Amino acid sequence: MSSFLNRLSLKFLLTVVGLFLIGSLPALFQGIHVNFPSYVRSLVSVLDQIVHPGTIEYMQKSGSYPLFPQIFEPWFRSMSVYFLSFCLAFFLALVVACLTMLLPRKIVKVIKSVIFVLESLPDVLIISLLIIGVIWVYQKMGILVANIASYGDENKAVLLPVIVMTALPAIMLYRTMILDFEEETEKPYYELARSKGLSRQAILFIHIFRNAVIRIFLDSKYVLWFMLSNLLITEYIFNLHGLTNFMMDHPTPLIFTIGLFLLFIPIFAFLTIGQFMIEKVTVQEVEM
Amino acid sequence: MVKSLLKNVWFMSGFLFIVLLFAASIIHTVFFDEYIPNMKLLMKDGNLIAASPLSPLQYPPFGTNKQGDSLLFKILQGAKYTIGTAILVAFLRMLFSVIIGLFYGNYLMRINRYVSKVVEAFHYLPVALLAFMLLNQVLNEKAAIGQFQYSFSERVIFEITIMTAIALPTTILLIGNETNQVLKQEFITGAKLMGASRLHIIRKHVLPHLMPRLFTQFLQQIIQVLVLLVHLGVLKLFFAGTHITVGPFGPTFSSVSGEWSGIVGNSYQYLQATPWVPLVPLVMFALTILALNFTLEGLKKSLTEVPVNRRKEGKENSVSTRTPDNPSFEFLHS
Repeated sequence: MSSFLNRLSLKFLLTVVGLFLIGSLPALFQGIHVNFPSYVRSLVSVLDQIVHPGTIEYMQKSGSYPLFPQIFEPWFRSMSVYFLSFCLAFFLALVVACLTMLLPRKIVKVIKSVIFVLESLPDVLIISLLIIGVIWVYQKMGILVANIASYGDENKAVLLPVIVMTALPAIMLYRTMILDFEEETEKPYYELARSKGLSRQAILFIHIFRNAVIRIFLDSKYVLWFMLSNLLITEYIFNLHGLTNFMMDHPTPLIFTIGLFLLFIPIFAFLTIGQFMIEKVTVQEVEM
Repeated sequence: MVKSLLKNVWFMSGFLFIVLLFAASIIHTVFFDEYIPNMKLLMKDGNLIAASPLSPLQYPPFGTNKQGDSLLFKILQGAKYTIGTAILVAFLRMLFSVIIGLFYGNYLMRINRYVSKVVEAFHYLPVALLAFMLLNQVLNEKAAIGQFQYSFSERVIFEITIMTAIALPTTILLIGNETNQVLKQEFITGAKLMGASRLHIIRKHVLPHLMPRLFTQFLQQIIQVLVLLVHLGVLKLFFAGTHITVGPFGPTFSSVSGEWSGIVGNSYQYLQATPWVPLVPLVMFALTILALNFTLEGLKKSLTEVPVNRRKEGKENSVSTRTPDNPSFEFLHS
């Protein structure tokens, strides 16, 4: 337990240092010229201000406001879209992957090549196609499946962003799950179980699933990283007033750094909980 | 390896797509001087039936944009910038990360435990956001003055530098780790015992082992740069600069070069009215990435293939079946 905490706090601190160094990068360039002293000055001032979070303010057209209770609202909105779509993608991919594993091998091969093509599509294209699809449905049937963009605070378009953000991660997770499952079927215990007469479903749900789920969780870290880019684009297109919107509207090193921390902390916590659970269950050290 | 690549359907189809697209774009520039057909008004029997933007049905194959320019030729014009930039940036990323990564893998592995965690911070932010923060000042036209602060070439060099630099920490680490993996192999110890210098080991042992990995990494980097370009395009930062015109209906953003992401960003706000204008370049991006993935897949397949020397096998067979017709010895007990 203490070694777990030790490893974790070291990792956390080092990554925070990294984010801190990245956060001031906008100050490194003055126009196209590199200005190193200004970078160092910015690092010092960001550090100085971050230890007094109550006094930080951000500028709007109408004046300056205290950052700290204010930034939580866009942050909460971003994170709810982000984690909601991740969970949705994860369970969707898991269900579909389990079902496909029961299909004959030949069909799985065809599905894999379709996935290969789908994965090559840039997220912007998928988002655009979904938006056009929703409008098409609306025009044909008069049903507004989801709000396209947000105006004001009242009707936030949350459903469509979540659907959009789910699509690509679900495909990626699905592919890794299929690969992990197939790798498990090549192990000796699968053959033994088959030769003893267990059905494919029984082996899949009881043995393969249990063994593969650890690997799947470890791989989902990359999907979470990938989804951050997705989040940025989705927020921008849907005008979601999320955290990344906020960071782009206020491109100062201080707000950029704080925004990066706010993006990092929930993801890190999420991964840590997963890692802790896996280590408890499997009683071995896993490196996330 | 080259021969097996030429026979590989995956590799060749992807590779030819990229090469032909690039070549067509260059020919369009050199021989046709970037000529773009323009049709603002569509007439039929003397009657006006449509005005630009014309849809793909009215003006096949891709339709026109708001200014009446044929999108097919716009795509052709932009291809060389988009593909060229992606390849150049990916090449620079690889070049610098190989040089620094080899050094890192050789000498700095002791601090790797700490450095890798610091560098991991780069994964916890959207790359496009960092690029946006760094490029925003330089690439956007100053609306107040109505012109750019820096010249065309300055902007291009700056953007290429930034796009190269933001990926360097992670790729350097990757190559450093790969180098270290090779250095841990037993034959390296053997080479050291025989008196090989570090430089010799890098040249004769490490680099040949890294080569296949570097090729696949290079292709992946091209894809990453393309995706970054799309994202920056949507965020209205176009390659080599964004030209901002303030009009009665709000500002319009147009690209200085004819690069694809410029067409996307320029027309993205009209996605619902004229979906084909942003979709055509987006589909082209998707096709290019798909072609690169095909190339990558073919490359991986031919790398994992065990080279079989067919000729040798045939020889062995013929030896085994040959029977001496004129034996120069006799059996004692027959």
